[in-house]
Amino acid sequence: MYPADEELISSYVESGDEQAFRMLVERHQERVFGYLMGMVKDRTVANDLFQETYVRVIRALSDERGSYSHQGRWINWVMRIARNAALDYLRSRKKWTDVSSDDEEGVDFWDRLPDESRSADDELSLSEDVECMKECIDKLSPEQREVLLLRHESDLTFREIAELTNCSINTALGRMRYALLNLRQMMLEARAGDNGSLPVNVSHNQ
Amino acid sequence: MDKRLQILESLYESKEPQAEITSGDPAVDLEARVLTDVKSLLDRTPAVRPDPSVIDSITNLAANEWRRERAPLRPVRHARIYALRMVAAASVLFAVVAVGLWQFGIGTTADVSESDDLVASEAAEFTEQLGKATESEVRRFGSNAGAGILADKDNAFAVAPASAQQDSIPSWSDPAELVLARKRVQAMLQNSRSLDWDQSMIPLEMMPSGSTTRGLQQTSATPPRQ
Repeated sequence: MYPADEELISSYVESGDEQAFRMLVERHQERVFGYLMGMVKDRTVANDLFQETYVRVIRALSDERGSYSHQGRWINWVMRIARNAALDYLRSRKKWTDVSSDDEEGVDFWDRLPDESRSADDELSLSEDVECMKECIDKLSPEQREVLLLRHESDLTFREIAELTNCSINTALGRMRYALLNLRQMMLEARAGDNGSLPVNVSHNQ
Repeated sequence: MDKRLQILESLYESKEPQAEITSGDPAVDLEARVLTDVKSLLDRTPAVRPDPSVIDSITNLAANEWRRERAPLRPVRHARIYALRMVAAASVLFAVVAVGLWQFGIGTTADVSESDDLVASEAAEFTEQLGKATESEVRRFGSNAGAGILADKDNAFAVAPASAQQDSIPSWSDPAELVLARKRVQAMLQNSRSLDWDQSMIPLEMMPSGSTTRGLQQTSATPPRQ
């Protein structure tokens, strides 16, 4: 029998079943950690943020006033906490600038940042394509990259992404579309010598 | 919604695997193929996991936090519940006792005291009237008949002649006289057949006198005692 998230939460909150909580953490570890890893591009920092996320979760569960109340939406709640933890970290490092939701175009934010993703990528020992893709993902604008991570790593729906990032579904879909197109464009540019010209002429700057 | 966004949404959130997406617009179809290719590449990206030690530390932290936050709350909560139960039980007990006293205790006491007051007032009134009547009757008998005997079945009171009657009038400050007068009243009450609370007093001269033991007797029929 595969216990639901709510059953595991109840087991921990009501009877202190730590194994239930461990099962809950392990069940969603890839979704949470994948998002954090994509956001900070550093495995050590991602581990710290992963732990920080669950520290906040545990404290929120212990606090009667702020306890978990989103029945059936555990992962959404955890992802919101993980996102806040990641944004807090990025702001503390002054690597995150608040960009208007409507400001989809302009200078790539990550062009202004030092590239610290090499060590994380090396640790992962990914294939060349995946390595290239991750490098390209890191060059996406923060909004596009976040939507891409939330959709691919955290497996949230676009409606959930819209709620989490306080935007409309169309905005979330638009960001995702431009993220994919820009990713494709950057990958083709990186392999320009191998693949030749671009297969499609689309706008990449939004 | 824009056709391109619809393609993207169906690409990601359609529950059934889709064949090649076609919209009739070559540019849109071309973009759909590009999006599908990139998505396929992203889907092949291996998932990343945190270090196992992080999971262990989170689990330990969760256990410690639960023990620290929840365990101390339990005795307090239980003590609070116990206190509330005790207060509730005491309240119920007090209510039961209060209702019981009100139904049986206080009401009966009030009735008794009320009836006692009524009886006492009636008795006082009766005694006063009876005392006046007795005194007046005695004086009248003393002045008219000169002497008389008030006989009783058990007790007999001799009415002295007029000269002696004045002396025999009890002095109410004398306890012995008071006792004697009380006995006389009691004897008169016992010999009065139908003297009830609700009836007016019957003058002595109206009482039957045929008996030798009841009521007034003719002085001529009974010689005065010496």
